[in-house]
Amino acid sequence: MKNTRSNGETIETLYRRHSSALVLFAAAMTGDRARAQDAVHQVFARLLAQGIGQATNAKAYLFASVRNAILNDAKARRREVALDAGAAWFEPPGRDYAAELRLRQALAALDGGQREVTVLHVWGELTFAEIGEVLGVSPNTAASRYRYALARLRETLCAKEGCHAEP
Amino acid sequence: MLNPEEEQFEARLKEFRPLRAEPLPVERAVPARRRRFVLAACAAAAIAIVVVLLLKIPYGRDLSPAPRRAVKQTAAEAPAYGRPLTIRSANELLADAPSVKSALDELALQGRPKQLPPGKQSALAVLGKEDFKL
Repeated sequence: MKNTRSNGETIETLYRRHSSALVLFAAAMTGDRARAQDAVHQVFARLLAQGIGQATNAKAYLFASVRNAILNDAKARRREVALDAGAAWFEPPGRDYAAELRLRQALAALDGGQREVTVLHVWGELTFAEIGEVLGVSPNTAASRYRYALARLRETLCAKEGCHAEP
Repeated sequence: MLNPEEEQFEARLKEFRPLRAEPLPVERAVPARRRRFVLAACAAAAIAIVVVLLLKIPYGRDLSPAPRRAVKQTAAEAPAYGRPLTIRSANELLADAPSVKSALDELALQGRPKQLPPGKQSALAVLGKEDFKL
């Protein structure tokens, strides 16, 4: 009973700490924020029922679980979902929603693997080693993808406004 | 390793904060003892309501209102005996009776509740047959 309660509190703490980045990551994978939210809830509901087990790195485990949930769902539906540019993903600095839209469009234009790495590193705050663990690639591959992704984002976002302008 | 420009760009990206996720829909687990108590209370309340309803409604009572026509017919066909004397019933008797005297007799006999045993006569009937000479 005490263990169950303790487990529930741990899961709730993890949700408060990481849910925003997890939903963003899921939205970047699916293109649909509502579906992303569902996937994250599904993962946490399972964790509440079964516990987090012996995961050494809880954060990496959560991102991997969300990714698996989305991939399983995508397999069941057997179709690709285009990125939805309608629903916001970020709270932009200075309430600059035009910049938020540009950032989403730039992320949507990235290759799927590069987009995953970017979201995991910038907003999930995972190291390349952790990203490699989540995606099942080497840390070097993850770092390489990130550098390509960052270059493409800069190119896209700075094309009109200059390289030193905000995204 | 990132160069300074890349690091600066990465910092700018981090200024965009992911939107907050919706709260986790956690079903608060109700303890089993409390759940049993709530179920028992609901069952007791339901039984009490049924018992009260059964006591309030007598068994076999016809709750439907009687038709008006039937009530009227019963009143019209009912014998004069036992009926309360009202202006209406008196008017009816006067209208139906062959004479005023017979109507008055009828009214006077309205209160007679029962038949006399065989061989006995009513004093009123005997007095009614006699001729008084004043």
